[in-house]
Amino acid sequence: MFIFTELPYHIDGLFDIITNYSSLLGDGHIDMLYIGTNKYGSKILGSILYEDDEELYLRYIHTLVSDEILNDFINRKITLRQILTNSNTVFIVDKNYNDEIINGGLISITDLPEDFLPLENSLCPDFVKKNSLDYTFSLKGELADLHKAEPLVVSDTNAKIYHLLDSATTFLNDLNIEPKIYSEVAIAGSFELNFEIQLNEKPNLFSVPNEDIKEFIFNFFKYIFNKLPDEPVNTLKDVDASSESLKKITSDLKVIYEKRSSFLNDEATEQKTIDLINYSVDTFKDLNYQGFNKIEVKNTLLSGEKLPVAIINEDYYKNVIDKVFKPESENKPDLIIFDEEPVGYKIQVYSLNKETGNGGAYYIFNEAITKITLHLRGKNDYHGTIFTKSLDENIQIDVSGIGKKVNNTLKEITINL
Amino acid sequence: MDFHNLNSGHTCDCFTNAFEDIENYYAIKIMKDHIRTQDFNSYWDKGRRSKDDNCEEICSLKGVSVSIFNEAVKEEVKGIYQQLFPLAPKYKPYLSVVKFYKSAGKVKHTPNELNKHHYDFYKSDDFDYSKVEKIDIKELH
Repeated sequence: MFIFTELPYHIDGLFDIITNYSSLLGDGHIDMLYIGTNKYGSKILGSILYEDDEELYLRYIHTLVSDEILNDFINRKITLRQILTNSNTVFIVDKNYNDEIINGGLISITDLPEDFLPLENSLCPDFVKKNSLDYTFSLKGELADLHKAEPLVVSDTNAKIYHLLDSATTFLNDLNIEPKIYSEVAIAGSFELNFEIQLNEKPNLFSVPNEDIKEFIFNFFKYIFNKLPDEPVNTLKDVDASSESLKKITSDLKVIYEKRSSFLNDEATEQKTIDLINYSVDTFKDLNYQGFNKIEVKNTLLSGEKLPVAIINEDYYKNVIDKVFKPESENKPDLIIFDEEPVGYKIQVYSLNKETGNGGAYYIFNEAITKITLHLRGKNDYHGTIFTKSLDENIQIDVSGIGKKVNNTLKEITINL
Repeated sequence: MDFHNLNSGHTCDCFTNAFEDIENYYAIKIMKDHIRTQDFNSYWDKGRRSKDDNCEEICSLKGVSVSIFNEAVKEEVKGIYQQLFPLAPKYKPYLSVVKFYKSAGKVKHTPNELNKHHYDFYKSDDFDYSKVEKIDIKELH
């Protein structure tokens, strides 16, 4: 325990969280690490110092932090100790066990006894939260801070964020889940663009809970906004150079497929992940930061608290463009031709939902290999077919089906069994 | 064993799935390098109350947080407790391993997001810390 002497000046309500409270780490009753906003709109990071179980109070430290500092802390780029030692707005806050402030005041960090200071490795713990599919994108800086915005800019930004969410959830179609993205009413007087992703699952006797999908999308956004800018240039082009973060995203995606009886081999999973990243990042290509200079992304937890995911700055796209493949844009209408009767093709299956018959395959022609979509029809179950043999044993097979060619390139084969 | 103290102030049944356990070891985070009576005070004892009379929360407030501690889970349990240490090196920096004597009380498995080995320990009316066998105390860092 230590006695603190409050500095002589005091602004009412500066260290008191009145809104946006979100616990990052707690023991079920006592929050040990949390964030929130004071009545002046400043963000506060709170962390426990100690418990006096004789005098019956809990002592915390509250620090005013910028959006960027908070984002860097949550994404483990800076430590709590670094934040405190570089801050001149550190408060001691004493609370009773009902979370009511009973004492508090500004202190100088040099007055905090050394053994109470967070350690050099005081990174934000990997907390476990129940994510939802509700996301908030807050426009910040410039006009947005005055609660104003150019209507056309807001409309364009809204559309781009819709495309981001759409791109990040395309993989769900492989799993017979149709993602539907809704724009929700914003809070009056703010520039928060709120979106909800609904998962419309086709009727299935063996459907599994979608918590893993919610967590994956949350971690996917954390990756593309927080980790990708710091990745080496060839991250998405050289599998061996993949970071641990990228490998984790890839393996999580593979597990999501496996849980739903849809199997992707390693190569196909990597390609699927890379496609998700490429197309998601591409939505920021022409984003016009007019009247704002950054976007804060938050996820609404199942508890209702909003957890910061990332800060997207004006230079985001510039910082990631050399790490992704640029998706080709199509400027002219596609020329689509179907085979009039079944034609022979050589393929190797790399993914297959053994119940629906939907999947993907490599098409082999004149030693060139391209990826195509595969639709098997005519059975209720495709276990034990040559297609599962091709998938499991990585072998090429000859099949006969109706091909769909887009601009003279085979994109899809439908095979009736 | 009587539990009048535990049952006072609410109408919830906290004892479904609770049982007396004098065989297993349990870990508890404490403030000092020795066990004190305060270490077995629940948040209810310290004055915290449920805002919406939720029975799950009330029973949890009435219990003392412990984790089962055996060969299979002890590294995981230590890891859970250790992750806060760098952020708050003076907040419950010691981990005590204990065993409960007969009539000390009952335990109930109450896993949470952070700790799937979490139990609530419900003290009997006769509880005092002489009903606890201290096995080990270590600093968490």
